[in-house]
Amino acid sequence: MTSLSELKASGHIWSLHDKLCPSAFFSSGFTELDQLLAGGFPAHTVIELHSPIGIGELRLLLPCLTRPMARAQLLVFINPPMLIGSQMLQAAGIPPSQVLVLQPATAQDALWAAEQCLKSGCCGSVVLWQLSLSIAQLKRLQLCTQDGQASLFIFRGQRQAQISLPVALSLQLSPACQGVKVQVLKRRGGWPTAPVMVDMTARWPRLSVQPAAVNTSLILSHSA
Amino acid sequence: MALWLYLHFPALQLDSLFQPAGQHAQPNACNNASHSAAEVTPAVCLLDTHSLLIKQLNTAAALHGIKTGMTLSMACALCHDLQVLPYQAEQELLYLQQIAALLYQISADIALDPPCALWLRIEPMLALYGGLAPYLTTLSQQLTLLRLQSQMALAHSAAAAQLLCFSQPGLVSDDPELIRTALTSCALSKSQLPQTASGHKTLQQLQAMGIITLGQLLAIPRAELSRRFSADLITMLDKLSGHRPTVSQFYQPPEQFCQSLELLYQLEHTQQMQAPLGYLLQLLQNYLQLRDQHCYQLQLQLELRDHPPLVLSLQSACGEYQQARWLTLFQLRLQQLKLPAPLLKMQLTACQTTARDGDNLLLFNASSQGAATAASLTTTADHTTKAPAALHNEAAPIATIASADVLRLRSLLTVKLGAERVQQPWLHADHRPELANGYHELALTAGVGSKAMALHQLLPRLPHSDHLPHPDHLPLRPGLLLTQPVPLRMQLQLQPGLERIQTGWWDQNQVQRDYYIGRNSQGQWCWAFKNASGWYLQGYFA
Repeated sequence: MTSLSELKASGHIWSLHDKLCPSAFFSSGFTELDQLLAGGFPAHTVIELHSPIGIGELRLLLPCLTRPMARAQLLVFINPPMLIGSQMLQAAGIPPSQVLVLQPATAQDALWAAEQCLKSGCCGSVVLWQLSLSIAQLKRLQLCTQDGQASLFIFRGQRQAQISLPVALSLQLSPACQGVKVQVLKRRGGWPTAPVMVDMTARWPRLSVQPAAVNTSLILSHSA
Repeated sequence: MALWLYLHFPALQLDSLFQPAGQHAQPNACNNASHSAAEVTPAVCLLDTHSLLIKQLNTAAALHGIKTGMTLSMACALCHDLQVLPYQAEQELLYLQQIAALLYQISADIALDPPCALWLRIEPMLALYGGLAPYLTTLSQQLTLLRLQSQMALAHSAAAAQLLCFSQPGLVSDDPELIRTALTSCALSKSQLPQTASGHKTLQQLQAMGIITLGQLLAIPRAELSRRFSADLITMLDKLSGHRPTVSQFYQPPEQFCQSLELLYQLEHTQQMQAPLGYLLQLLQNYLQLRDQHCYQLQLQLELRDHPPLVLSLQSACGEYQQARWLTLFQLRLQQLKLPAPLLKMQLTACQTTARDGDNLLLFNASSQGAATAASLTTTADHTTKAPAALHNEAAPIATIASADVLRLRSLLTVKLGAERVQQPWLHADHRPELANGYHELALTAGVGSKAMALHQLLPRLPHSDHLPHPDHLPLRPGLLLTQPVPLRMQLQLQPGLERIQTGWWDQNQVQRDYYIGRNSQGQWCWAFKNASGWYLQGYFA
């Protein structure tokens, strides 16, 4: 019968006073997000994101996705909803030659492809758009991320009433005028807090609405 | 002193028909359900289609009392569940060549004696092996792996070894006295003399004179023999004594790997193909290891019953030689394949092999190695063989990551998902966003007529990364783009500032567009443009 201290040491139970190891996190590149997540994105694991398309969800991940590029590792996109813009990748400092875009026909193939990419050890991150995921599939993916020392970001569409999966981190993104509003749905080693506005104006000044300019901006309405 | 070994395989074609290793019966082989699956070898024999006599049989058939030269009806009467297959001389020759290829690993001078025998010239090998006994041990180890019935004999000339093998198989000793004694007691009917018509007549004349064994023939003075009999006899005696060479051409291993395997039982499901395929791939691995080569492309030809042959072509971006890696690739391919007809025979050809340059791996690699079992296979299940395209590293101007792991992963993904579903973003030096952004397929082998490349070849590629503009100077572009612009249907709150793109007057796609960034009511950041015909949406700043 293992004692309480052994269980704590092996990470099976944790207490609120525990500080998690800082090297197990990657800074997200945005200070508000790092504060919210007490360090940043957890390293080498599956991170689940619920978000509508086009509000800045990829831009939020860009600093995290760009970091492994320096080690000549691949970035893989699986089943993106639309074409991934190569000019955007270039502007972010990601060479298109280090990016792969996979468009498998079935969800099974997509999960298989994600597993292979993660296990191979030559991928830094994999971004997967997949609506449904079971607990067994999630566990397999988590094992693969640990084997291959890679991160998996899953975009699961808008949050629906479903069983919550045992992921290390689950975020809900919603649009905001000056960036993205992030709410932590689940975090391993943490507890839910209020949503935080991540200000992305510094990096993309043209993609934020200044409050003062709301009344004077041009409204385009197109009548069909 | 010359030393020759003659290896005879009396049932070569029969024994070479593939049977699963370690099993002695196929589940569907026994006609009677009462036989258990293990411990019963089916009786199989080969029938010569011209004379309709039994030509080769296995040990199980011999136990029933069947002998070579019997008619089919007699054999069937002795054994009711006998399996009969046609004898094919060219198939046997193929197997003989495969055996020679295998034995070439241990012995240099090999000569073929079709249909089912080999000569091995031993005396140059004795210095390498340090004696006859170690050489024979190695040889018998190889022969055991082949699982063929074999007989051998040793003598000082090739023809003498042949004669000894047919009359007293199993005599392997380099003692000249012993060999001479054995030779003198060999019957002349077992020699090569009866093979020709005049030789047959000579043999009958000799038998009429009471000369049956070689010893009796050698006792007669040579001058008398040459006067009385034809030159055939003298030639044969010269060959037996070693004065005239029997073998003129030695075996040369083929340049290209091509092995075929005929299956004893027809296979209907692709899962059953694992074992024979694994055997063929092991042969390939041996072949490549000996030559220190890699293989980039393999072709598997499947011969089906009453159906044109099926050809599977597998490519690997990273050259592979290991059996396990190729087997993984084949498994992925075979999962998607359904055999249209039962499988009779499979043939594996290695199309592209190149010398191997060493992998430069870091000894202390910070990232964990992980199971890099990725390998790519592109499969084209055509009914005709395609000429293998040359391997071409087409992304030369853009720096590529050519490490083995990356290539293997790309190969694996391409095989399983199909080449059209694994793509790489493409960057063109063009202001029109629909041409500057795009995907292209990963070309494992670049063909000139590849459709995916046709448009992109017309546009200039981006220069080398050293000359790329600084990211801060690049215009803001969306992360997600629609494949074609769609008319704008929603209300956007536009950001100040616009970008005008007016270009393309040199080809047919001239554009003049004013691009705006806007935010719609759901909070999505849209990239819309206005041209002469109205407002369109082109992408989202995801």
